[in-house]
Amino acid sequence: MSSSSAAVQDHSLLKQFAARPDFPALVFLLVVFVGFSLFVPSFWSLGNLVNTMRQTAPIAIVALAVNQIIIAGEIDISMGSMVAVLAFIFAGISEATGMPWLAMAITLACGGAFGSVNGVLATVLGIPAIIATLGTLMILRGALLIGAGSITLYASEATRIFGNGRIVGVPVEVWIFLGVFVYFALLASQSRYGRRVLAVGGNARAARDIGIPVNAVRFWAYVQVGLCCALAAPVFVGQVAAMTANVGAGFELKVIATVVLGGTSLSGGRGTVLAPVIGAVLLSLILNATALVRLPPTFESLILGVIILISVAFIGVRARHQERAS
Amino acid sequence: MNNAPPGTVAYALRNVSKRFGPVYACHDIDLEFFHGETIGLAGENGAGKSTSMKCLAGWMVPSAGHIEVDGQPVRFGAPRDAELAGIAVIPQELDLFPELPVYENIHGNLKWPRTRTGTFDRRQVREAARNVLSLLGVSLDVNVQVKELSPANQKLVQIARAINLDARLLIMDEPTAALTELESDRLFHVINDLRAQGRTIVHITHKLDEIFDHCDRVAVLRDGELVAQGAISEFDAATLILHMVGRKVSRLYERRISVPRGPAMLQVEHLSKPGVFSDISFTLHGGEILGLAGLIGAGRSELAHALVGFDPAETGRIKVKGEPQTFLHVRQSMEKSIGYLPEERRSQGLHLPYSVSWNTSFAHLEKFVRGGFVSRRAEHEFAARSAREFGVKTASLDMEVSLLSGGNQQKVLLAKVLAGEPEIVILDEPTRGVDVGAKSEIYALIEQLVADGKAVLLISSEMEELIALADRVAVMFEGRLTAIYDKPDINQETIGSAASGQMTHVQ
Repeated sequence: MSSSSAAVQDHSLLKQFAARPDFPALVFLLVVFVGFSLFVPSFWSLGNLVNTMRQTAPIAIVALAVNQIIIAGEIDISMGSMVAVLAFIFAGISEATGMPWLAMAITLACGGAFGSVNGVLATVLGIPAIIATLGTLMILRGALLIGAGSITLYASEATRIFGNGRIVGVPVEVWIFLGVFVYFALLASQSRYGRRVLAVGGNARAARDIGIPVNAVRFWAYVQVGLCCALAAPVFVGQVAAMTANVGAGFELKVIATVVLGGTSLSGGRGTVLAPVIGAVLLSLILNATALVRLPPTFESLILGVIILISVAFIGVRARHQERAS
Repeated sequence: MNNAPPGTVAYALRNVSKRFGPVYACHDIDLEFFHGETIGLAGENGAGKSTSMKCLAGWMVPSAGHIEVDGQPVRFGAPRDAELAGIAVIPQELDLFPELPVYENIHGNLKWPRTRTGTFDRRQVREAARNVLSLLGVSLDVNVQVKELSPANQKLVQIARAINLDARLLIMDEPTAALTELESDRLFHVINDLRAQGRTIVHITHKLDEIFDHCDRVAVLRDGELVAQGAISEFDAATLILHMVGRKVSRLYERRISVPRGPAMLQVEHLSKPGVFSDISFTLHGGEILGLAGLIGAGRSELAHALVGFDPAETGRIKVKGEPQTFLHVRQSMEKSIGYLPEERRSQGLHLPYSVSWNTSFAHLEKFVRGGFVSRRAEHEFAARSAREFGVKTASLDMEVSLLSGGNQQKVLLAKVLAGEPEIVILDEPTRGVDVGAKSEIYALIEQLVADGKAVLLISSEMEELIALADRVAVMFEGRLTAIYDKPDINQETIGSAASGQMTHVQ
């Protein structure tokens, strides 16, 4: 027992901070930020920064919820199709009624319903999460292609308020993101549910043994992803103006990449609320900078892939290093 | 706590039976648990210990009979009901949350207190955790993540969580399975304190000396029935074992075969890996069992990992039959006829969802290739032969290995390791969590290995095992080899003192 108490004593605040799962991503973000400030022309302009924030918002909104589900030891890969279907639902209703807020409310209800379906499939029916949500990913996209495959949807100015408007000078989507962030930050640090998510992802059996309703915790995590997709969909509509049934294809992978990039472990039980935010900002900054130095957008996917591999490899090496040190 | 005087009945199983289909996992168990006692629960694997305790703890509902709390019959529909009645289970495996700090683990699933502003009152939870730990006489930093604690401290956190729920009956399943003897002593200190506070401890264990040293009473189960119970003074090791196995078994184990020491098979020279072990030198001969003793964390398994190439050493030399070798991968050491039985059979050794036959053959599939394909038949024949040779008790070779008892799983693992007919065999805790009957069968198998001229390195935390089996015992302490004893000098005191670093002389 003496050996362990020696290990325990050295526990300064700095060390605790450095042990955070999102620490490497945070350092990486700082380096990128400083580097770009120095070497990329017009990076530091207000317009560019606001632009970056706007680009980040829809991914970050969904990534915050997906972060929770990954910490809970589950996965959801249906976000791309959910966002697309919800975007059409939102735009359709808003255009038909002229009431974007009503459309938003209905979209949220639909998002919650989609998430519930995922939740039922993965918990009650016990289908492995990746298969269950792969199924909904394909079904939703398929339904959208059948129902709206030939349509290009142009949204009116009123419909676009959630991705094109401003409140006190700040883009609406940034407000939405901030709201979602505060919700998840409080959830993680101040709610019983947030602690239970960590417990379920860290050791599901032990969680069940002390009476945590494991399936209910997971179910709600799926519902949250659906709701956040419903919040992101109107932002999409506002940002892209014209969309086809292919909107948001591949979005789910970007979101998962964002979460992992931020340092949340795909094996569950380990992650922070900041991770998806850091990851999303990092991604957007890098894409933004590549645009500023006039790399063609065709490079985007390649660059993303390389960054993700480097950062995750780094996290892996670090984990092994820590293991050895302890 | 409770004010009931020690010696009165706190909890009881009344004619409890649990049936699965036509099979009784436990039958008509009538057992009382007194205030302020430690009661040992002994029995082989499958004797019904876990089932009866699961009934007591509300994890299972008995098919017949009932539970009594303070003389009143109760019915537990869920673990929560038993928890409210003051019953807590400390399972053998870790049921904590490794990424969460100690205080949150102790807090468990309780309601979080709030501050005036509505945020979590972490200070209060931390304080409560500290109080519980000090009640146990343990000083631990409550902010540390549980994954950073030693197994012994993790065990204490498990206990602290139960005490935090004000448990009056603690059911501990093999609490010392992952602990060294020193750590176990410390744990028993805590357990004795709990008993002095009037709590009841049910101690489930395979280690008989723990029952004799630390229990007031003992109850023995066999084939689902309660076959004996009484004050510990009414039992000795022989009668206890007799009750457990239903037949007479010699003490722990007597070695039958001893062969003259053969040629040097494995020479280890100045092997070091900074921070893990340093300057390890010894020679392992054919026809000998060299025991490797030490506390958990002394670097024994890490040394074994270096010897087989899992995690190579940084300096020093390994010679097999006189020839220097570098093992950077397990395949290389296997080719040089080294076999390694890992310490965790479930996570490191076996593929649990696969069949007995699959597990037996798969490390050496090349032996079963006929005409370019793996021959199912050759595989099956080999598995059948091994199962006979190793005394694996299984309904069928196609049965999932996860369904076998611990002892039988270990025999399958041993068969797998020996399938390649290694001449040097490294066994890491070969009998951990295995019942008495299977233990002596495994010992006989080990003995047969050296009788065939093979060299065996036996890593074990059980001194009795080393004393019974080993020709020589090497002892490690904090990464160094502190002593090597020959047969006449092998005993509890010499090994114990070398393992705790109280002496250093290498012969």
